[in-house]
Amino acid sequence: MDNLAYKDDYGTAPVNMQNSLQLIAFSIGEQTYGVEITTVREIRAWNGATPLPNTRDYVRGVINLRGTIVPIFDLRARFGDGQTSATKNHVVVVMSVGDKWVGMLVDAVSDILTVSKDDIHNVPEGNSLDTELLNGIVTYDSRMVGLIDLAAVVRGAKVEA
Amino acid sequence: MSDLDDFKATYFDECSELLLELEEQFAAIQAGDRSPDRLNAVFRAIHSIKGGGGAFGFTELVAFAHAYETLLDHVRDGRLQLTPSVTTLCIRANDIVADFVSAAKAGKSLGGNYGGVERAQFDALTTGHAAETAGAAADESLEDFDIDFTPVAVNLDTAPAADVAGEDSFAQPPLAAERGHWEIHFTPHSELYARANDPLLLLRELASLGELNVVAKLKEIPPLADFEPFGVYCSWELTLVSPTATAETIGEVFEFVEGNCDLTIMPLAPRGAKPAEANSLAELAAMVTPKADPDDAMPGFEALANELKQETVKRAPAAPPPVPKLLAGLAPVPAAAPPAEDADDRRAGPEDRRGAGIQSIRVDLDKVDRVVNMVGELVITQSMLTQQMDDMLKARYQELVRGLEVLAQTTRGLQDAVMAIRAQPVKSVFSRMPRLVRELAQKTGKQIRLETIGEATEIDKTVIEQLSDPLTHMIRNSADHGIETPEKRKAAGKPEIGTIRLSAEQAGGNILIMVEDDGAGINRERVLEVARQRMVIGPDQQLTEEQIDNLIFAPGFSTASEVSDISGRGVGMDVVLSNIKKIGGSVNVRSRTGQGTRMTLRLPLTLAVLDVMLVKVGPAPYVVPLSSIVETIQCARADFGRTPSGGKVLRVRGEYVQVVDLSERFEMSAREMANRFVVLCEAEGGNKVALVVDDIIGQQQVVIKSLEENFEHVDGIAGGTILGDGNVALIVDVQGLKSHEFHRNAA
Repeated sequence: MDNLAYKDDYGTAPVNMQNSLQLIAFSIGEQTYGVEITTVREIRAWNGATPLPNTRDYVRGVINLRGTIVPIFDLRARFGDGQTSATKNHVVVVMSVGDKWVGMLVDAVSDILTVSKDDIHNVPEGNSLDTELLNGIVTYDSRMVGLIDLAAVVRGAKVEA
Repeated sequence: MSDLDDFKATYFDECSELLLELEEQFAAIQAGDRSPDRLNAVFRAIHSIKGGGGAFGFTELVAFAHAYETLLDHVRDGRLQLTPSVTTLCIRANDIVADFVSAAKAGKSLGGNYGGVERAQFDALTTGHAAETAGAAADESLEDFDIDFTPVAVNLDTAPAADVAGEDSFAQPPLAAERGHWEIHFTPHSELYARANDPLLLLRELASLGELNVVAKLKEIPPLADFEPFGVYCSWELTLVSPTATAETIGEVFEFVEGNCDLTIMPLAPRGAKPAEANSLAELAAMVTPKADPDDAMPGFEALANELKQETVKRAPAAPPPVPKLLAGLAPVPAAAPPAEDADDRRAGPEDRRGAGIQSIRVDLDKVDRVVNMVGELVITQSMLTQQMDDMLKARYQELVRGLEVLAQTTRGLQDAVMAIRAQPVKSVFSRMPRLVRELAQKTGKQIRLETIGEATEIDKTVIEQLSDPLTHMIRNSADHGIETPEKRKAAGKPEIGTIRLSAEQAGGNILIMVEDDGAGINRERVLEVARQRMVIGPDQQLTEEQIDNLIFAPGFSTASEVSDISGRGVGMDVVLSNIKKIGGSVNVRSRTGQGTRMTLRLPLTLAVLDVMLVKVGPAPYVVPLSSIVETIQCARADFGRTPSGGKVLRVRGEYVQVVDLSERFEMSAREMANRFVVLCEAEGGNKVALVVDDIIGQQQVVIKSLEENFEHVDGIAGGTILGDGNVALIVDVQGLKSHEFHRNAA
């Protein structure tokens, strides 16, 4: 707390950094989702992908990211809303999940949000896919932002033969 | 601390090289080569291992190596004959040294008594011969394996002069010494200088211990005409007065040149008689004060210059001998300037030698790998560029075409050169096998001889690393299942000693590694029986002899009725298969009942770049490794058939081959066969599979990229690669497609 007071003196830290979270927010249709900004490696336009056989429909394939092969997950399809008909205007957000890099195909990246951890709510029980894939929900400017659990999104992408 | 860790890593690297060297030398010695070079090499290797071990405080290792070294010393100066039993003991000792080294590497202790039996044998052998010679006393006083320098002649050279010096110095009664007075005889060998050690630094170090008196002995310096630029003619007699110095602390000063010099350290009686030789004028002139100015020339060098000056003056009237320019400044000569070429020659000498001294460098493998990867990318970019050249462009830009041709050549050359950096002779793996065979022979009570052929064959280091485990398992298998007991062999009319032959040769773009034994061959009935029992094959399945032989590679398969610690758990041969498969190789077995078994590993020369055929399945590009392709056939001309169960087969040259339609398999959509192509591939063990693809695009080289790095393994896909246009193509896993039954999964 002393620390906070010190920072306030200089007026540089309006929010308690220890208790806040910076998110990259992106949209899929009407919905807004967010991931912690530190996990994001880069954002690039959709430019097609080589399809991977024997994988779930939400695995759009793999792309070449400067010499390494990175899988692309279609978030819309992951949330059970059918495959995105991707165009050049769609966006791939490359993130690190554990020691792996994965790309998420989304409609658009909208904002960088700073939210307080206290504002994170639990995901209401009901839709099992939501509880499985979201870590929580935050409200920002009266918008609802779903916090994506990346590990859960990536899990189980392979079709068991 | 990280510095020390670096040194340690280097030390262990060196140790493994030295251990290989030991293995090699003893192989030659066992084969009857008795040249002293062999023994010297062995001695050097053990000595280096000991020396480094001492520096890092691996006391167990040092103690054992020391005892072993003592034995070798006896052998070297002829006090002990190198009988077969001594050779066997030495080989056993090598193994123990290797164990100590790996224990030290792992930071473990093998317990004080490890190797105790052998040590006792060393002692028995060395002390048995000891009483006769003065040197033996030295060994006895060293028996407690104190690596410290005790006041005895540690005689590391066989040069007669040094011998005499050693005996003499030993004759002086050590107990009559006064505390703190030491006499040190120091005769560097040329290796000492070759390893960039400077006696001056050693002398300074000694001087820091106390009051040091240095006498250079220059008797050996020949007339200038006979002077060899790299000859070592100078030695020193030192007296050190220091109340604190012990033989140990003095020895430490010389720790890093141990083995590269003759060194005697002995306590000195006060006002002891000066060495008689140290009285000549030239030698007195060469005396230098211990705390010399750092800019001073080496003490010996100054003396050398004086000597040269005298020599020159003496001879000058007759014929002015050429004086190296190097010395000209130090000792201005009143003689005519030496002929220019001559002086140049002499100056060129040291430089040449210096150049020749650095014949290899140690480079972190990561760095080499990075270069290899980048060259791989370069090769692909280059081939992409070449493909982009259509006829119109070729006609228009002839200069560009020529440039591209040169580029193609250069990249090829670059690629070969880079791969050659990483290539290593298979010897590094082969030379681990003799020990294995010895141990196996001992455990099984069989007599086995190992022959190795083609050890100089070079393969990429990454392939070699993957080779050790499979080879170990194959040799175990041969020793355990192949070679029969001496009695059985005798009964079968074979020589009692079984032979395992390990050979390597290059065949086109592949390396063939063969493990052959002259044992009983594969017991096919037993294999078949066990395979049926373990449900590896169906009860009524009929197999060819070859197919039966290849069953031994099935996971969990073992015919040994009892699990021994050599084999029988059934994990061996499938490890061979999976390791070899991983590096894109194949395994084949041929066996003749009663005559032996031959297992052949076919390995790619390199893992970095793969020659592939680019094909299309639906909209997506796939690549098939060229090494596995037998032929391609147009579907319209192919002779398809159906098995009763509905599976598709292809008849080609009287053989029925399983058909895998990649569209069905990967795209999950059935397509008309017409206008498509069959790519006939050969999987392991000569099993064929026919892949049906939509189109064949061409041939190219690709760099293999891992799919697992950011995703996970996908069935039927061995990895990915990046094409010239930046898109990803997937590599078809021919073996995987063949071995897994296709399950259509409604996702």
